Amino acid sequence: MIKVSVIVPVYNCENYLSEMLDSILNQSMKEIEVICVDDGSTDGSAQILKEYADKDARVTVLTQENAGAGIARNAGIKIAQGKYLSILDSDDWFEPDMLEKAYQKCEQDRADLCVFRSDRFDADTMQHEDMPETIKREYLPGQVPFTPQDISHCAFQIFIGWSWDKLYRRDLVADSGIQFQGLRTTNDAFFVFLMNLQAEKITIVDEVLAHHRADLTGSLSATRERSWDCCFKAVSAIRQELKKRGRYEQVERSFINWALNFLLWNVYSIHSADIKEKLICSMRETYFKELEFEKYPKEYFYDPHEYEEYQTISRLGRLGSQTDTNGEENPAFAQSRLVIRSKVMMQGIKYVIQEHKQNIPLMVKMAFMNMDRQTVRSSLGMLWTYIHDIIYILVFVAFRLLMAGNGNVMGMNSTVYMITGMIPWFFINDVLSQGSMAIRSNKGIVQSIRFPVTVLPTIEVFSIFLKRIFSFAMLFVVVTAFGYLRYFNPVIFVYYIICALALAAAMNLVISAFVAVSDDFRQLYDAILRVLIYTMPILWDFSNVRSIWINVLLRINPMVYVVKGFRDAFVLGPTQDIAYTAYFWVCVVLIFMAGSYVQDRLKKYYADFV
Amino acid sequence: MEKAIIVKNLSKNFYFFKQDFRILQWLFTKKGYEKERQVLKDISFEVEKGEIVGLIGVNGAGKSTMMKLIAGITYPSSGEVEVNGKVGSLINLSAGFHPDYTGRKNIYYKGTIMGMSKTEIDGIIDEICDFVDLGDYFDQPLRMYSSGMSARLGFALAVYSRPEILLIDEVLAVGDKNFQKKSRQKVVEMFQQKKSVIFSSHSDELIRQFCSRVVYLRGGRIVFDGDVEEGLLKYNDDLRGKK
Repeated sequence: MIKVSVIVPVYNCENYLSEMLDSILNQSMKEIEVICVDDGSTDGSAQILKEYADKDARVTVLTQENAGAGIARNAGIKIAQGKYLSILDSDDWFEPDMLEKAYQKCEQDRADLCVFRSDRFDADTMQHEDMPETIKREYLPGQVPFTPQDISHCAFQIFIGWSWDKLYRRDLVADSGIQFQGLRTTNDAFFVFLMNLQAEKITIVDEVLAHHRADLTGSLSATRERSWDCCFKAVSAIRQELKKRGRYEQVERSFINWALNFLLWNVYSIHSADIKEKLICSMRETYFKELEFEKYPKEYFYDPHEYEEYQTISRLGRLGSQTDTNGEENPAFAQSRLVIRSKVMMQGIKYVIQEHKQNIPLMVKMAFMNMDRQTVRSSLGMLWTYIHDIIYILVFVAFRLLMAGNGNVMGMNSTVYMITGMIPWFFINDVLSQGSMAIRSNKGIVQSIRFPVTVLPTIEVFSIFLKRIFSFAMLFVVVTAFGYLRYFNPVIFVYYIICALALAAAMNLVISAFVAVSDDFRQLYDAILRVLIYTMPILWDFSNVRSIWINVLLRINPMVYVVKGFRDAFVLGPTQDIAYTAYFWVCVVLIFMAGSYVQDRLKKYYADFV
Repeated sequence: MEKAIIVKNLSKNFYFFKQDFRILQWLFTKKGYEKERQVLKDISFEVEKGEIVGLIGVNGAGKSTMMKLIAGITYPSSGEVEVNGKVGSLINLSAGFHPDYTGRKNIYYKGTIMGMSKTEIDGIIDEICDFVDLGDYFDQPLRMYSSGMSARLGFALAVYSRPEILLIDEVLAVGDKNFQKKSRQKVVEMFQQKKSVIFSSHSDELIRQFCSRVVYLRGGRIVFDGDVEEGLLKYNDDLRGKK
């Protein structure tokens, strides 16, 4: 006769499966059958199961399309023949005398259900941790065995809502018509709690007989986040079933307390802030109402802290005590998503501005050091930068003179036209190429010294600007040589210097962060950079472009505003219209906001990612 | 007694990405990482002023991450680290120097980045020069240095920057025998000045010599916190057990 049918749903757990199966097949009790239900595993689990089935006649393997552990367990129960059912999980393992002890206890006490203790095993630390909550001593009635009536005030508290630390009489399960739910997660609570009440006699073995592998990070919690509403589906189904069976009033208080505790536990254990918020909103909007929480007074709840949490959620739509993983307070439900987003944004902006404010002397010092750093190896030092520029400009001037003669562009000498565009471009280009490496190239600092990382991009912009002051001087020389100096307007000049710095600093916040964490982005960005100069009015003039659309398209780039501006300062006087000016500053502010958000979000992780 | 370091319910998660590009997705949506690994789990402990605590555990137990969190180089995912006093970290000693600068200039460079003023550095530069004992090399660019030499420079800067809390990560084996002796002496000297120290090492002998207490990390959790001998015994038992 088969004394115990062991049911095991198996889903992608090749790492633990053998250990688990061995610990069942080596049980001191031999009169067992093991029904493994392969829930559509895609790893080597199926192979392992097959090997065991071939080796040991007591092992039966069922296979189904992936449908969740609940459905798999039901399928196993359906074909089970043993007197008792042991419904286990594939990543746990068991003391060799587990089945024997539980079986004997059931027989001896003529019980329908036997519960034993289990502990938690942490694979990282190799430590066993007690789980006193598997059988809560304070709720145990004086005598064992006991009936569900003896524990009606704590039917949902005394044991945990999983099945693998329990042994069920199979007849009882079959007669009751109670099955596991087909949910992705929390598919066992329905079965377990209803069976607790269905049993006529319950007994316990007060010993640790099973070992539960501590939550393997990632695998299960990810599923739980996707199916965040499963917890309530289980709660709600249990409630309906209890009502249907006329047992709700009897266990109402225990159930309500469990439901609150369980929902809160789900909220706490979810990492993702969005899903957390969704769950909290649902609790406030529907769950609490459906469970008629408002009719229970404060004393009705076992745990005053949980009661307070419930009050906070239903009043404010947020948690009272817990903060989410980022340490940001969970925002009140009443706020729309947009408000939440912009709040996060404001936080970032505040953070970045504050960090800059606190480190001004350091920034100045480092800007000079950076400048020095780049040139320390060469004997000509900084001069090389300008020699590059001069050669670059001379080549273009020579090219123009040879090919097109000394023509006019927009009524000015073409050389002057070009150089007034070229010099600010050199600055922007330096920021975009060399400045964008601000964080990446300072890896050593980021990884070994406590340092306000968000000021690094700004330092770089500033030091590039210092380096470029000479280029602006060069610009004066050329402009004077061509006799255009009388048009020079210092006010406009200073204004566009400010524009250039603001745009460069804002852009570098975003770009340096992206470049620091993603090599793909750096490559893509390099490619864009090469093309950029040709989309700006530096070597040619936009007025030649007939299509108004292309003209608008080219102007979308706010750098165009700066390049044109310098030409205004030196030759043309103020020509840019207010609309484009407004557009430019809106761009700067938006880019700065995006940059602050990115920097704020990444600040915790730079040392890990860079 | 005043506390130098208070660590409360500290956890640190690392995110792993299949491609770097996914980080950008994650930045905006918080999704896209391949897996999340908790390297420190709910750690709490305190270090008194003047206490010397040994941190032991196998590679990957979370010691270095712990040090980096205390040094403020990286941030906790949840929980808090409170540090009272200036931290000197002997982690990654040669990082943060510039290869084209001379040893001397690098002291100014990294010192400035660490937040020291020029006069402060002026005050210690001669002592550092004596201590590192690099001779002519001190005024040569760092790229000429051997790795031991630049680590010596890093060690010197960290200890002479007058920290009140010192984090020492496996670095007492820096340099040649002479320098090792000197650096140990220097550390002992700091111990005598009642600085708080967290000291991580795989050498039982060093732990015994220096520490008044050990914290044993395994798999990101504290499994022992207390008496040195008892902790080492537990640690060594575990090591043997694993083999």
